Amino acid sequence: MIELKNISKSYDSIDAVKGVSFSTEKGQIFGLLGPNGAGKSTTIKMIMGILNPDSGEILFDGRPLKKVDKDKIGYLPEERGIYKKLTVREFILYFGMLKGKSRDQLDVELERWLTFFGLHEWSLKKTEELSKGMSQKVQFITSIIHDPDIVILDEPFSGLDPLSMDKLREAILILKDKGKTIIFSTHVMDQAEKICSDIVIINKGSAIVSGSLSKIKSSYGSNSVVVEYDGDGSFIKNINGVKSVINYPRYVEVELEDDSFCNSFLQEVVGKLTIRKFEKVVPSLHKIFINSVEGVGIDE
Amino acid sequence: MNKLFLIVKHEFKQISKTKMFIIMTFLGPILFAAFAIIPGYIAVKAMDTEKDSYISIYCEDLDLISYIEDELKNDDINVLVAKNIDQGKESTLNKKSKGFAVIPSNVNEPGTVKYYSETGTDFQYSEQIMDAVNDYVYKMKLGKLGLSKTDSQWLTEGYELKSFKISENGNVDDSDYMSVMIITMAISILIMMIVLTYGITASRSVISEKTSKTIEILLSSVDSNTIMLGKVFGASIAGFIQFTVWFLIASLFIKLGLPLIDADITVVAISAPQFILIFAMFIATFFIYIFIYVSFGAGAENEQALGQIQIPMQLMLMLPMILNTSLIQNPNSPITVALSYIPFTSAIVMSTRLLINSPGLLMVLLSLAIQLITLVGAIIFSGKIFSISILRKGKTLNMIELFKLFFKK
Repeated sequence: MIELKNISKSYDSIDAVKGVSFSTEKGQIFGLLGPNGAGKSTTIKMIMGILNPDSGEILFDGRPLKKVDKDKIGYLPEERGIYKKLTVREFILYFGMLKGKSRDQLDVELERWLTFFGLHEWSLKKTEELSKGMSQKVQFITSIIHDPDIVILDEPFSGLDPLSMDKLREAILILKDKGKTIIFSTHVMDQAEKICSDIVIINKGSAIVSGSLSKIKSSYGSNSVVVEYDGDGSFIKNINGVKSVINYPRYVEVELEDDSFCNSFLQEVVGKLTIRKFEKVVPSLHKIFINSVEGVGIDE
Repeated sequence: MNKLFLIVKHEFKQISKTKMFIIMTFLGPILFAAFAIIPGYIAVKAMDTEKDSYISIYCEDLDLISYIEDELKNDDINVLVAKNIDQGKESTLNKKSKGFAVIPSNVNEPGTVKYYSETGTDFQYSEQIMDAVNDYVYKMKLGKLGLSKTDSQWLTEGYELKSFKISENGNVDDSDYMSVMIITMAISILIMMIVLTYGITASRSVISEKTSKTIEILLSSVDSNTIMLGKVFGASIAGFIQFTVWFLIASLFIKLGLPLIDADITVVAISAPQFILIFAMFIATFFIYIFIYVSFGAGAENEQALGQIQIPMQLMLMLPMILNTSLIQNPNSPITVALSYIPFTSAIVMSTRLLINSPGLLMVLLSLAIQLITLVGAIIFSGKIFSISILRKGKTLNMIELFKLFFKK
């Protein structure tokens, strides 16, 4: 549905986006991943027509993206904005109507989504009375109220509590089931791993990894292990055959140089730590992301 | 529904549903009168003498005292004759009289009248006394020269001055300086207030989109030009409604209010062509300023910075107000003529000139044409600045930087 062909954008002497290309399909949840300042938001703004690319091409359904196509795209920006003096209903309807829908068309959807997020009784309250979580839900509804074909969500889970995150995730899956294409930008890999089928990782303005998440993972190999243990695991990184280590509060994810080091690694740690769990895994998206961004390289 | 219309409607609603808008629309002229006319009225009133007030006089010339008594009686001022200087001073200190005058009795010699009062500043009484004394002395001297009272009276009689304004078509208007002053001042203030209020309102609206971070959502639905025009027209409609209400209230006051309070004011008649020209110039100026103000809103980071960047424009708008008296007295001076062609000042200055001496229609149309050309420039300037800087963050741009940005490729 959306295809970016070698798009670039620079501000003065800084190259924000350099020749990024990717494409999304109908009904796909597509992850636009990268560290802060990688160029994700600039890329999204170019898709939304907020910024014009210096070069390259953006296609919508195989033809160049036009201004009118904006109405077929929903957008939740990273920096959330709200009119404090409008009621929840007024705020959502205003932006829905700016997307070319009539009030009657929007009313049905509005009732449905307000009920879904438990905001129905807040519909006539001013948005300034909402909590941060409620406000974000309202902004999410605003981005999808006009029933767009494509939804672009820039860091949608940022600042949400776990319950709200689950609700939002559920909403995203409903949209996917309805055949909507969702472009989902984040630097939190766990979230992306749970819901994205395809990804592109952008770093310093360039796309460094892209494709199907499962394919990327399998191409990365199965030379990773997850170890849950008690004791001082600081020696793990020095074990022969260990390529890299990511420490989590309760476990480590270890990338081995080769699958053949697995047994020797297990013997080393068993003698020094109390092992609760030892599991051979495909690398996490987090691991792939770290390796990609730090330039460790990925075998594809 | 048209997206521009939606934004205009939204902006208008945001402005018009505030309590301040409603209060100012209906009470604006009253507040304006309270701030502009009442202080002036009080100042004029303060120069009048109180009715049935007393003045003490010490003078050995009883004829002179009698003359002063007669003269001051016309203004409801009574004279207390003091037996000596101490008694006169005492009556002033005891508040029996407003002041105390010591008048020399030898009218043949130059002398000094001494006037004592608690403030030393109530010249309205001392001037009345001096007028009477000098009048008396002048007549006495004429009498000594052998002229009869009738001759003296005849000699001191002069002409009164009454001003008329004539126009090329032969019409004669008896509006006086004060009437012209009031009407031009009122129109100038009306134009300035509306332009300032809605210029600032529109630029604040732009700032609020930036600070509330809603601008990105808007830009994802409409282009920057539509947003800019929506803000300009939304604020403009609110401004024109307020202007119309104020104009109607002012007209009703002139028609019905002035006769009721029996005010001694000759209202300057504004002809239909004059009104159309003034209104056209007001519209052009309004949009020039409002487009520029909107670009300032896009270039500023917050309201405080916006306040600073607006100062030069506000000064331009206030300049004709500051020079108002001089403009009225010298409507054809080089400075006045120049200001009537500068698009930022021309609406007020040319309106003033139109009401005073009717400059040629070509001059007015030239001024209007310059305004329209400037308006086109302001729209182009504002459109570019708005689209470039609406998403900018960081340092607020000053006017020079805005111009550099405009000319940057």
